[in-house]
Amino acid sequence: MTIEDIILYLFMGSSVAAVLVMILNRNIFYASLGLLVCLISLSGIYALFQAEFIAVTQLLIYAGGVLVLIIFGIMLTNRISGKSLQTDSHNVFIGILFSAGFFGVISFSFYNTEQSPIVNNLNIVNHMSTVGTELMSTYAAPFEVSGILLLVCLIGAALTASSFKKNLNG
Amino acid sequence: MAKIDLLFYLGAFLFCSGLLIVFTKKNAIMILLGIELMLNAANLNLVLFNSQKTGLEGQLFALFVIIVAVCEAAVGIAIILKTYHYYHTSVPDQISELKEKP
Amino acid sequence: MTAPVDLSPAFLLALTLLSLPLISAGVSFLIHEKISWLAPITSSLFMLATFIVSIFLFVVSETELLHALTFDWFTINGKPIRAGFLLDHQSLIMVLVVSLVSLLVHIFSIGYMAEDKNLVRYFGMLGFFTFAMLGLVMSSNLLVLFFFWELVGFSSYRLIGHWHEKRAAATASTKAFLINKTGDLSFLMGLMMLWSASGNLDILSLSQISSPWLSAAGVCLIIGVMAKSAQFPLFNWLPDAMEGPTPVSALIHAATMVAAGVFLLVRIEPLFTVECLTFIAIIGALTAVLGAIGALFQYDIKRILAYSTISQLGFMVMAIGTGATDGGFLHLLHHAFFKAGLFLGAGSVIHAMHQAQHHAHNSIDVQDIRNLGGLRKKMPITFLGFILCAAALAGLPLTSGFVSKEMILSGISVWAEFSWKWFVLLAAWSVTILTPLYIFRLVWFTFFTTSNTELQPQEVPVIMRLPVMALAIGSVTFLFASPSWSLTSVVGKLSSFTQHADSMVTLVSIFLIILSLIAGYFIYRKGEPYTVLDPQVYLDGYNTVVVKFTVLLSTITSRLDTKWIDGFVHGVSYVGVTLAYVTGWSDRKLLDGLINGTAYAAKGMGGLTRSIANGKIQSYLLWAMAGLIIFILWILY
Repeated sequence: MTIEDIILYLFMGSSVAAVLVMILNRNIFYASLGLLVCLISLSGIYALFQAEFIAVTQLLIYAGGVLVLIIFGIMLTNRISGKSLQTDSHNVFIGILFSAGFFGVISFSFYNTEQSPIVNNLNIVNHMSTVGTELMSTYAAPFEVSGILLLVCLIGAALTASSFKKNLNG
Repeated sequence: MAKIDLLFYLGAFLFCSGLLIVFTKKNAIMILLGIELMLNAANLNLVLFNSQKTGLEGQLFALFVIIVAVCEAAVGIAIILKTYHYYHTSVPDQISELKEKP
Repeated sequence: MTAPVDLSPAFLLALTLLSLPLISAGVSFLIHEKISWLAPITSSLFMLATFIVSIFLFVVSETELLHALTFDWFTINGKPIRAGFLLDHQSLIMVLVVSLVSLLVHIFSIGYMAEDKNLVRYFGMLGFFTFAMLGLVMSSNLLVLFFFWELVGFSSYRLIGHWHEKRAAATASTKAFLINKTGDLSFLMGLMMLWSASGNLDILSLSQISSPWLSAAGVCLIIGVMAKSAQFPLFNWLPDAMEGPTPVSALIHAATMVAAGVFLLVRIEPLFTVECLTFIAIIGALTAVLGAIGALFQYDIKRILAYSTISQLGFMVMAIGTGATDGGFLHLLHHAFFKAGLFLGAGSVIHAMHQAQHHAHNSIDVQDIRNLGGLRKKMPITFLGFILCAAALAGLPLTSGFVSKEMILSGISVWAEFSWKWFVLLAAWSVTILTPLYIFRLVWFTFFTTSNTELQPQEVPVIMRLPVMALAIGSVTFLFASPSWSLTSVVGKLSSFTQHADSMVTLVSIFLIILSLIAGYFIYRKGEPYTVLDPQVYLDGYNTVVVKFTVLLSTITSRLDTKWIDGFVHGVSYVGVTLAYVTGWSDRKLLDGLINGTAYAAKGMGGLTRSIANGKIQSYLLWAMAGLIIFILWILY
């Protein structure tokens, strides 16, 4: 067992623990912190699998952007100031049943699937620059489209969240 | 069991946890968190599969998934805020105007 | 596998022909409301181009006889559906007639609809209507034909309901649409039967199909035709469709909508078994007589013409059923001309009267022939056109209607020589007598008698007179000879006709027509139109005779009642009461238990399903997930 393996198992364990916190804790703020831990662990796993660009993006966008957004959301919908936002659960039994069932289906399918022989592409030297080149050449069209999508959703979110009608009225 | 197989099971576990959160938690923000978790589980699978072959399709696809997830989170939070302003709650079950009151 | 499309000149011409009305519709819809006066001009020009192209197509295919220009469209179960154009004599002549009538209707509409607010929509739908009909006529496959058939139904719905602010118009369009949909359903069923029987819907190869299902499929197709062509049980949408603008009525009645059904019958005629043909003949006979009688008792000028159309369509259908297919098709073409002429003439009259009414601030119903009269002097050109078309409708010699009518009559008399079929022949003859009568009545009260209103209608503008005159001339001279389906003159037509027609039938029918006209003159001469054939008169007679008789009868029966029947009734009622006790007991004990049990079960089931549909999105998600899991398991294992 190399040092990389130990780090990998560490990340896996931390992500599972974080997810368990998300499920079991009733405090939404803690749950979002759990998601943060989970995302950071995942980005570590990405980095270990030669996906440095994705790992960095994950850290920047998810941990930096989305989580901040969600925490803002939690703060803004916190009605009674000072008291942390709690959440209840329902459909607990049947939800666990179906989720576990789905997990079973996926795992069983995966277990029964013939694995293709692993091609080692660790010899690609500079992943970061390869990703950049690919993004600007082969995947230029989806890249542009996703840019437009981001712009549209930026405007849409701003318009939805703002209360400009109220301002217009008075 | 190879370690990569273990990672695939981790992905499945994350996805099903997200599913469970979406099913059981009452708050809309928690539902959003669950959806993010599911997207990340899918991303993990993409990166893992990409590491087993030549080429970078999986990684780039994961990138686009991240972009879509960001959009989804932004719009979702905006909708939650809007409904919160209107109904003073972020629990979807309490926002039922069409349902007959028990 | 798509075979390479044959890009011969004729194919390109046919494609152009089909696309021109569609482009016209598109251009019309694109025109902005502010410059809506442009729409009539552009669409009329497009329609002129369509007509010219159809002439070209006709000429091209005169030299080289064309048949199906098809390509494989898609494949079901290994059997290809071949779409394309079937350009034979029938479809080419029909294309010519449709585009000409449509062109004239467009030109007429420029004047008639000048003050309408929704010109863009009107002309757009007119173009679309023409497109659908041309596609229907030229398509080589019954499935493709069905698509255009549906489009024809849809655009007629939009055009009948053009003035949808009027409640009657909206109702009429919905009625037309629904009745047509009924027929379409049956049509589709017929197509499915044909497909399962033969796997081939090409019109050219229909005669090779042999299957026990053929009669059923034929009857299904005929029911579709009955709805579209307004045959006996399904014709009530057509008189109501008069709520639409008059040029639309002309188009529907002459060239596009109702003609589609008869055209389809002509097209798929080799398919029909003997039973089907007999069915068609009986339906046609019933429709023809009922329509003619209906036309005799209407006051609304447009409704008279509508019933006349029903009658004439029945006549054509009857002809096809009795094997006189050529005669029926010829009559369809001739009918397109004179009926369009009659409708456009009626439209002119209505338009002129509306204008006069507008000046005089009068509010009578200008479509009522009792309010019309004496228009012969005021609108001489319209009168001339109208009377020529009316003569053709009545079947006077030297008109187009005469020729086709004689062909049909002699065909039917050959067919009905013996057995019970004389009933169809009788219907044909009575239609021959009734048609001159009702059209004489219409012409007489519209144009001859003195007007009993003080309106002063003026002759309509040239743009509306022109199409009427064109159609009138067409209905007198523009004849299609049946053996070669090419254009010939009247004289040539008549000489070729007399060779193979039954001269006895011709003489008798001329005699009958003239007799009927004379009778009409004597009936309606005195200017009191409604003494003899007015339903009101019958109602009065009913009051005097029938009511008295009924009263007498009821007195007698009431006497009988009290004497003998009461005893019997009492006896029966005792038995009834006893039986009621028995059944009441069994009701309470047995049936109620059963019903209550069922109700409890239903309530339980309802509660179960209700608990799933509890309005919580997460529960819905859960059940969707359950479905997904089952689906995945089913797919994988």
